[in-house]
Amino acid sequence: MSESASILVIDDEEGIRRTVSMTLKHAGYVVDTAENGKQAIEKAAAKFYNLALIDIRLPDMEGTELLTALKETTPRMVKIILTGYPALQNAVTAINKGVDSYLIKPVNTDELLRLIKEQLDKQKHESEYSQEKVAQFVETRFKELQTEELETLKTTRKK
Amino acid sequence: METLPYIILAVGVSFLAIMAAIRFTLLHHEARNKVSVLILLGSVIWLLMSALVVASDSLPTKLVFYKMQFVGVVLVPTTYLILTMQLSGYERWIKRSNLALLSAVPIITLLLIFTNESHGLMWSNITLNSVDPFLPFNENRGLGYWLLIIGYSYVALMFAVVIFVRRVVASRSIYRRQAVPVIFVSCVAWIFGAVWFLNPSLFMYIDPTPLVLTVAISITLWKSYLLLPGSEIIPVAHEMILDSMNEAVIILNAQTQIVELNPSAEQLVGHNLSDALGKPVEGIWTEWADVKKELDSGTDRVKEASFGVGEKKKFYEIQTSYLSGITSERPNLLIILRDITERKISDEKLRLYSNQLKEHSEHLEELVAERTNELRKAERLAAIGETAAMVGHDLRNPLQGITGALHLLRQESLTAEERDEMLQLIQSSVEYSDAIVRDLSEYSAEIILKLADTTPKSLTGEAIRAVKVPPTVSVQDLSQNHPTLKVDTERIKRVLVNLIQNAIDAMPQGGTLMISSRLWNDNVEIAFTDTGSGISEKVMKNLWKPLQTTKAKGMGLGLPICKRIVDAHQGTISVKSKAGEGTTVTISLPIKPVRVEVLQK
Repeated sequence: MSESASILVIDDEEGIRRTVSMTLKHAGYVVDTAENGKQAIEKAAAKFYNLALIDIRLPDMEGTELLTALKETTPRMVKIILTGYPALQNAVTAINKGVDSYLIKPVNTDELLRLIKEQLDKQKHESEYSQEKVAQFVETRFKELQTEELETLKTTRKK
Repeated sequence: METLPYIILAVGVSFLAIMAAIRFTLLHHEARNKVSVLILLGSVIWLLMSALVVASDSLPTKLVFYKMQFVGVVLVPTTYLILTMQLSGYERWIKRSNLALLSAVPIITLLLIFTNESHGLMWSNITLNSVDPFLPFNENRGLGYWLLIIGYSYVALMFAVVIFVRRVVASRSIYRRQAVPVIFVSCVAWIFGAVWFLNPSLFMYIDPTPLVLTVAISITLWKSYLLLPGSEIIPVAHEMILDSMNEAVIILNAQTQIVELNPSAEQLVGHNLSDALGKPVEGIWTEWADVKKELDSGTDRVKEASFGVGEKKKFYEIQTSYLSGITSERPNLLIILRDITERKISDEKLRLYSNQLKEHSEHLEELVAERTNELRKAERLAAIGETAAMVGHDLRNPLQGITGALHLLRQESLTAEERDEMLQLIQSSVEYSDAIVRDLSEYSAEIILKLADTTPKSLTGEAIRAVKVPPTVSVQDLSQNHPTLKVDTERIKRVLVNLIQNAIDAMPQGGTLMISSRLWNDNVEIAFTDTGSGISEKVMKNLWKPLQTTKAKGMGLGLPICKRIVDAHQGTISVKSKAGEGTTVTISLPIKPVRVEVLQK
C-alpha cells in the first residue's frame, strides 16, 4: 500500500524538484511536482496526494500560506515543510498551521525517505483505524436497526 | 625799664612753647616725642632763666638764675643728640650704658657750675655789669666753661648733624621729611650762637640762641614735622610686627644658639625666649634636626617641613636669611616658619578631588569606548547574522540539489542519462553557489573599474543575450549605436543583466520590456521600461538597501550592487514605478568618468 503512495513536491528550484522526485520514484512512490503555490493548489484539488513536500518560499506565496490553503482542501494529506531559511517565526507559523514535519535544507536523503515512510505509515495506520471504527460503527448501527425492526414487528404482531 | 620788652617776649615765647609741648604730648605718646618735648623744655628753661637774670637786680639773685639757666643749656644738646639717633635709625645705640655716658658730661657740668664758688673752674671774679642791662656780668670764664659747655654743646650738635646727614643721604625718603626740621633747628641754633659769640653787640648783648631755638622747636612740634609719616610707625613697628606675626621667627647666632624667638616661635619650640636665650637650638627644639636637614637639602625649591603626626600634623614653609651682626663677625641666621597646614590640607584635598575627577573621566571614556565597541560588535554581529541568514538561505537550495543528486548517483539503478543529468545539476548548483559568493564579495569589496570604449547598443545586446528570456516576454531593444562611452563593460553588463532579469521577474504572466538610450548633457541614459507588476511603496523605501528582497531566490544584493557600480562610474540610477502598471529604471552614465576612484563600501 505504502509503495503506491503519491507525493507532491512543491519547490521553485528545478534541481531540487528533479532530484527529490527521482529519489522518491526510485523509492517506489508516485511523484508529482509543482513549481509554485498556485500549481500546487490546483494539483492537490484535482487529485489526492498522501504527502506534500513544501518549500517555505515560493515565487507567488509563502509556504505557510500554501499550508492554510491545502489544509482546507485536503486535511488528511501529510505536509512536510522544507526550508532553506530557518527561522523560529517560520517554524512556529508552520506548526500552528498544521504542518506534520519541518526540515532544514540541505536534507540528508536517507533521512528524508525515513521521515516520509514514517509519516505515511502513521497516516495509513490512522486511516485503517478510522476504517475499522467506521466498520464497527456501521455494524453496531446495523444491529441496532435490526433490533429496532424486530421490536416493531413484534408490536405490530401483537396488535 | 628798657629790658621789659625782651622779658615780655621771652615769657610769651616760653608760654607758647609750653603750649606747643603740651599739645604735642597730648597728641602723640611715643617715647621719641618725649625727647622732643625735653629739648623744648631745655630751651624754655634756658630762655626763661636768661630773661630772669636780666630782670633781677642783685648779683646773688642773678647768679642763681644764671646757674639755673645752664640746666637748659646742657639739656638741649644732649636730648637733641638722642632725638637725632632715634630719627636716623640708630635707636639701638640708645642703651642705658650709652645714655649714662651721654648724660655724664652735663651732670658734671651742672655740678661744677653749682659748686663754682669753691673751685672757680667755670668762671671767676664775677661782678655785676652796670653798663648794659643785657650783659649782666663781668667774669673771667674758666677752662670748664669752654670745654664742658661750649665744647660739649657744639660737638654734640655737630655729631648730631653728621649722623643725620649721613643717614639722610643713605636712607629711604621716609627720613628726609623729618631731617629738614631737625637740620633747620640745628643750623639756626648754631649760626645764631656763633654770630652772638663772635659779636655780642649785634644783638644788644642778648644771647639769641635760646629764643631762636625755642621758636624753631616750637614751630617744629606744633606743625608735627617730626611725625611725618614714619615717626609714629617705625619705633613701634619692629617690635609689634615681630610679636604679632603668625610666622614663627627664630634667630640663631653662628654657634646656633637662640638669640631671638617671637611668641609664635616660642609656641612652636615649646620654650620661652627667657629660657631659650643663648642655649643651643638642637638641645631645646626637638624638630630642629628635621629643619636643618631640609635647609641643607637643595637650594632652589621652597623648603618645607612637617612636625607632629596624624591630626596634629602641621606643615611649615621655611625661609631663611642671614642678618649681618654688628658685634659678631659671623652672621646670625634668621629662620621664619610659616604655618601652611591649611593650605597643604586644601592642596591635598584638591589633588585628591582632581585625581578622582580624572579617574572618573578616564573611566567614563573607557566605558564609552567599551559600550561603543559592544554596540559596534552587536551591530556587526547583527549585520553578519542577517547576511549569513540570506546567504544561508540562498546557498541551501543548491546544496539541497547537490545532496539529492549525490544520493541518486550512488543508486545502481540510475540510467546513463539520469546520471548525466545529475552531474549537470551538481555543476549548475556549484556555479550558482559561486555566483552567490561573488555577489557578496562584489557588494562588500572595493570596486576598481577597468574602463573600455563601448556603445549603448553593444552593452544592451550583450546583456539581453546573457538572460534567458521566457517566450511570454518580448524584449524591444531600441538603444542606439552612439555615442561611444568609456565604462567598465563587464560591470555595466552585470547591471543591465540584473535590470533585465528584474523586469522579466516582474512579468510572470508575460509582457513587454522596452530598452532605449539617449545622449543627455554628456551623459548616456539607458532606460528599461516593463509592463510588470510595479513596485509597492513599502518595497520602494528599501529598494537600495542590501538583503531586502521580494524574491524566493537571491539575497537582495542585486540592486545595491547595481547602484554601487553605477556610483563608481559617477553615474546615477533612478526608478519610477506604478504598482500594477510597470516600472522604468534609468541609468545615466557620463561618457567619460570625471574621475576614477576606488569606492569602498
